Amino acid sequence: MAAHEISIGVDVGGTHTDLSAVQGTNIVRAKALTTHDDYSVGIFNALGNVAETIGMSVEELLSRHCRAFVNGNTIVTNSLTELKGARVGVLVTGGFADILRVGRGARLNIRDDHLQRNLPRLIPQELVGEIDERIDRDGKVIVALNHMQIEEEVRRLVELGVDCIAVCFLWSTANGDHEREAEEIINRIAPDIFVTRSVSVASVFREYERWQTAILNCYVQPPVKGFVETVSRGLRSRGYTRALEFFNGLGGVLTEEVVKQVPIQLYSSGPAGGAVGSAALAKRYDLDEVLCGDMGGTSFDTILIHKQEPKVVQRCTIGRFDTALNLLDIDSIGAGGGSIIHLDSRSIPQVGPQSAGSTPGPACSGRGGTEPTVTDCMAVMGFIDPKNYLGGNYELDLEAAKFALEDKVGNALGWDALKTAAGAYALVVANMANALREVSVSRGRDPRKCTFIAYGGALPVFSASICQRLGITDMIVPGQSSAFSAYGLLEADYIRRESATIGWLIGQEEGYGHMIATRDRLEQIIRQDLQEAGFSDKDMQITYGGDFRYVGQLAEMYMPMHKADVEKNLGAAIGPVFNVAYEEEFGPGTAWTESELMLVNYVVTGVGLRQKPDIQPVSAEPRDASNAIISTRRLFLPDEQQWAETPIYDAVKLEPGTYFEGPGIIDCRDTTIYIPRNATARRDEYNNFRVSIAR
Amino acid sequence: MTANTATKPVSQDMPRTATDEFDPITAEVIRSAFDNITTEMSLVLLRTSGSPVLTESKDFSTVVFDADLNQIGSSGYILLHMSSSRLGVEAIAKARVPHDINPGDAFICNDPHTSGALHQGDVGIVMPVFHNADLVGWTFSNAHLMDVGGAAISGFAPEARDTYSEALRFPGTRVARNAVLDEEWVGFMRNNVRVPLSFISDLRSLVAACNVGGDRLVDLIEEYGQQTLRKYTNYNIELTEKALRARISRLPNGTYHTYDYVEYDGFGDGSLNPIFCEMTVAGDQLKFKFSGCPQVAAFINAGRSAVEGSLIAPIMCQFAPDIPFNQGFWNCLEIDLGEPGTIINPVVPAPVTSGHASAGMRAGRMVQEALAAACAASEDEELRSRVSGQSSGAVTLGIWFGTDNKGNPSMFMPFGMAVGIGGPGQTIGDGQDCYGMQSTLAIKWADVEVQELDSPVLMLWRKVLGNAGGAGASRGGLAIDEAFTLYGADNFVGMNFQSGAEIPARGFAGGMPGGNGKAWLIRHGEVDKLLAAGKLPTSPELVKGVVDQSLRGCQTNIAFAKGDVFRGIGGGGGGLGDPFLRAPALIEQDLIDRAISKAAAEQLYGAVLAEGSATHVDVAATWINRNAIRAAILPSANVALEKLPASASMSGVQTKNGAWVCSHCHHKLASTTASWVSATHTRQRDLADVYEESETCTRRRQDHPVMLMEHYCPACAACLTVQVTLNQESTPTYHLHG
Repeated sequence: MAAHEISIGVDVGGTHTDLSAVQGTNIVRAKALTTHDDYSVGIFNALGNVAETIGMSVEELLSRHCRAFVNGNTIVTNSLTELKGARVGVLVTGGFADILRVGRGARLNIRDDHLQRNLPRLIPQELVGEIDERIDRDGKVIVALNHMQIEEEVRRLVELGVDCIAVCFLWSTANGDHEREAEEIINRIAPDIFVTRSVSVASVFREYERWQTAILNCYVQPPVKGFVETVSRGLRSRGYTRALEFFNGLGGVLTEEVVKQVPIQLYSSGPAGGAVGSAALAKRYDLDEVLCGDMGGTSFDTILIHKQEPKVVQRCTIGRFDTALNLLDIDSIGAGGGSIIHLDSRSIPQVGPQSAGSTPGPACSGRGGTEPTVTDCMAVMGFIDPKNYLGGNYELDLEAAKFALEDKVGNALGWDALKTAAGAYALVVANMANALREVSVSRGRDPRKCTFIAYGGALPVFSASICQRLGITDMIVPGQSSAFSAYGLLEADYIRRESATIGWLIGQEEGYGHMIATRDRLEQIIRQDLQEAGFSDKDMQITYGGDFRYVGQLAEMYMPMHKADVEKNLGAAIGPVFNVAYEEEFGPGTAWTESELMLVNYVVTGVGLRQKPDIQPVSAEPRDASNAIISTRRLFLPDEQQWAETPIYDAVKLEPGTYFEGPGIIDCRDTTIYIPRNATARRDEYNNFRVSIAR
Repeated sequence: MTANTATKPVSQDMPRTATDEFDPITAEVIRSAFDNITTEMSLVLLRTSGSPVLTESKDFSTVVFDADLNQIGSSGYILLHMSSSRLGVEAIAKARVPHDINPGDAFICNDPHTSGALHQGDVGIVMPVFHNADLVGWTFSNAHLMDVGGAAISGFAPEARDTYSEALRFPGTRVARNAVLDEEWVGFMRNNVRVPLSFISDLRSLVAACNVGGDRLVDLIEEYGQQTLRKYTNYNIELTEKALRARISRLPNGTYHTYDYVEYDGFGDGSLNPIFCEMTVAGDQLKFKFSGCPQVAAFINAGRSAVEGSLIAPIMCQFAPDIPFNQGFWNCLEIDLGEPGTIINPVVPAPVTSGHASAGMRAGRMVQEALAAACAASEDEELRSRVSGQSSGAVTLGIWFGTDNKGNPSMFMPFGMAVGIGGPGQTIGDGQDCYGMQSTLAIKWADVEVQELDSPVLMLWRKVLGNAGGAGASRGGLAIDEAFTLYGADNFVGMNFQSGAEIPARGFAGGMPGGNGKAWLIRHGEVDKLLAAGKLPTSPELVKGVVDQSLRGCQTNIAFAKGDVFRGIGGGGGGLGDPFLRAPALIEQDLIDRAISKAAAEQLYGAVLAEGSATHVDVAATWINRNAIRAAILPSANVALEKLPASASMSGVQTKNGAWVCSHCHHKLASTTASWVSATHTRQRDLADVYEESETCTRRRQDHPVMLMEHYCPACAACLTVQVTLNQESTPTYHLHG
């Protein structure tokens, strides 16, 4: 065995810690329960499992064979959901401190007045210091920074016990001197305090989201730092010497050092793993339009992958907070295995968004849950193998599932447990189909022309039905479906993105020099960052682009461009190209061709190319799969609304090339794939399940 | 009635929905498909529109109708459009079906008088949907456009004397065939609006949205078949209607009378124009009867959709937020706007550009209060939890335009002052700060940096205004306070519109009214001097200068020059429950957060601060002080406010054995068929005096001062209701029937 040939991706989720180890074309997966009091325990449990499968010790695996270790996690999400984070102090431009309280307005798009609450207060009033300083939109200093006042405020905040200080001044994007000077003063007076300048995490205008990003960056810093150091210590003590990398919400990896400076970048890194894995599949199969979906215990996450690139959303919202972060555009609805079935005020069944979570969990899990969940429905319909529930470690309590379904929902409708379960199945499918439709339509794509990549432990039971509902005919369920997000971590590059607000009108002399200087400065920052992360020039890809908008509009659209585009005749050729891109995004005739075009933010992206799993196709001669049938089970088929003795195919025995026609079940131990009648499933040349569904 | 219904047992108002004829699952899948259609329409609108009013402030809606003009799906943010969409589609159907309507036709509706619009700035597009040759439904999309010509800027004409001088009015005019805008008409509009580019672009977006909605409706018909779809469409309407009727039935039968005043000072007369609402709960039906003074020659008259749209908001947000909305809501309501020719049922040529923000907003608040009173009278705990104060409607809307120093024309609309108004105090906690009007979900304003990038202004401050929220056991939500000066321009001209400077949002169950809105035009301020000295002009005290007393709440052609400062504040939400029952710990937090001042804590909440502290409340001394104040007002009462159950403080009164009783001490006040207010001890004070003492904003009236009528339980001295009235008016009353 060659040294350093195994790559390991670990996805720490809410319930499970999934691990995917890739060695050549071989992919091994492992699972452990997530350990919330010390996440590293779950990680090393999963590592132990995979080392055992491969047949070596964890130490041997880490010290001799592992060449990359990438982690995705929910630390940031947890910190923000539970509002457990740092004690953050803020220095803010005088007169504008209250923007931190109300943002741009707290009213939600929800009817119920009882749900209209103020934004959560991350910063107690006493920890906000208003500073005399003012810069205008052109970067001109109107009121110089009051250094004395900063020193007094910093001393006061330190006295009040802050861990971190966010420096949030107006127009720091146009002139960063004041924020920088303030940081220097803090570093001098209180060198142990973690400082974030707003412009250092988001160099774009719109103060609320820039400031909020800086504050959140401070808020999540202690838990992220603690996590990173624990994992790092654990790996190093077991002999791992290579780089430890963390996945960010933009679908790239970051080094340990960068993560400690911009911990907020870890937000949403879990779902992003699946998206990047799907993009890799899209490339492998050369697919142009892909919808992908992942279903966990509480939610269904989905994203569109257009031309093999996952869509990025700008100015992303985290919980109740608007931020300036760019993240993969993952949409989430409350439909998971633990989602509760209930009756609404019209006596109509509904699924979610409340979830029974892992405690008390579904009624059938026998852990005290009394609410009927989606998992209970699947149990009643026969989709969960009672002998192999949660890896055979748990007894499936079918009677409890039936009772909960009838007691809480069915009895009021005159329905038995089965009818209730089948109804809920239809609702879950409709909810997920609506979400997918929205994701594709909001990007101007027709879902019927997309391939659906479905993964996660729970989704493949529903995914074919979702396709039927949307008219999708092509579906892929990855061979390692349940650990696919962990696998996706290994398909990522090192990505850094820097942008700066310039507000240059295309074609104008005014501001041209500043724009060019900004571009070159951003490029230099990115190159230096990539070098520090260990990438040589040949492993570096620098791309350029901008957030543009027509004058008179308020929202920007990102468009990539070549470095020299802005130089030729003051960017004269950019306008027509943008008009085309705009109409491709928003529809024919929508471009504001009569309007001037503004390059609002210049964006430079640096990609450090990492070595990816080398997955090669294997021979897949078509042949019948009947040899893989291990048993039959009585299932209530949702699309036929009747019981049928259904063949169960063992995933291990389904070799590349084998195919069968539904109805049937593919049993992957930790995942159940339902293939309905009029659909054909084939184990393909990449060991994935490719399913054709008749429209 | 909150979203979390999962753990509740099947409640008594739940009908049996599974029958041989209908499958509830299919019904729900079809219902969500209709909502999904309207979401797709919204996405098309958002993706293709350029107006910040749409993309940032979300001032738009999309609705789908069946062939019988039933509302079957809706999405969007402005609940007022739930009415304007119905009236718009109705106007087209009445005039055009069956002979003058074709696939791909699009009609523009923006006139409150003839095509159901809220005001002329809110432009609706209506398109028919055909399947083969059958007319099978309608789609509607609506957006607030930046301009529709005439004297009204962005739809508001504060000094127009009749509707002809307001803006262009379309009675449901065909503007597109085959979903393509008529070029003749586009040319005409290009000549008549101030920002033609965005107007035409938005119009195209509205048509595109309707068109997409129509296609999707046809897809659904093909999926389910016309018969089945129709059957389930009607079934869904029936389900909603049944659920709402069951909800209404849980209210005791009775009639609630209330009133409000619509403010207008545009011609210097400072008029307060009375309107009235009578809400009757009759079994499973809610009946509303409105009346008011004769229509006035100013833009405050409310067209039908402004009244109905304001009325549906409290029913959707406060009373039945959990029931999916469709035509079924309207089926439970009976709405009588009274004689034509009044401020609340105007006829041509009454001007109407502020109908929704003036008379309409007040109508909505009367309904908020009537519903709260009906819920309070119910013995149903769940309904009693839905009482609340009124939300503020006190907007300060300024729109300014001119040329900057580089010669570029520019317009500036500081939206924060207009939408940063407080929400009502709730049984579950204080009202939301900067909630907007009840009918405007998810309303937002622009960043300081966006405003400064787009317009030649320097923002001086943006603060949350303390003391704006009405005092109460649950406090009303706070408002915005912001100010700006010209920066990079010398002279601008603008309009000012304030809908609530004198009559505030009322509290409920003893809660105080919220603060009023106000605008200040400060001439010759010291901004430049301060900046030069390295100081930020972050308060009126620092800015100094001379307040221009000629500024009216409704005014156009206001000169605004370099060196002047414009400051605007919004109104706050009404409080809920007697403020003397607010927990001292909450008052302390409010003092720390500057949500209230020391004066307000002392005057309105009876708080006593610890010696030498600005925020620390002395709990024992506070209760002693509160009891002493009450004993002074009401010597006969047995006062120990600290012993009153906090949970009961939210409804003021309740019913028990055919009588109104104090909800705190259960003292019997009156028979439920009579008014209980006359059995209370009443204190009458000038609102301006009270607000001055407690540092809350209002405009003092010299001739007919605005009075606070505070009604106390004669036994325990808890405050049961606080009314806001001119001298002569009576207090709102609720009489139960039989």
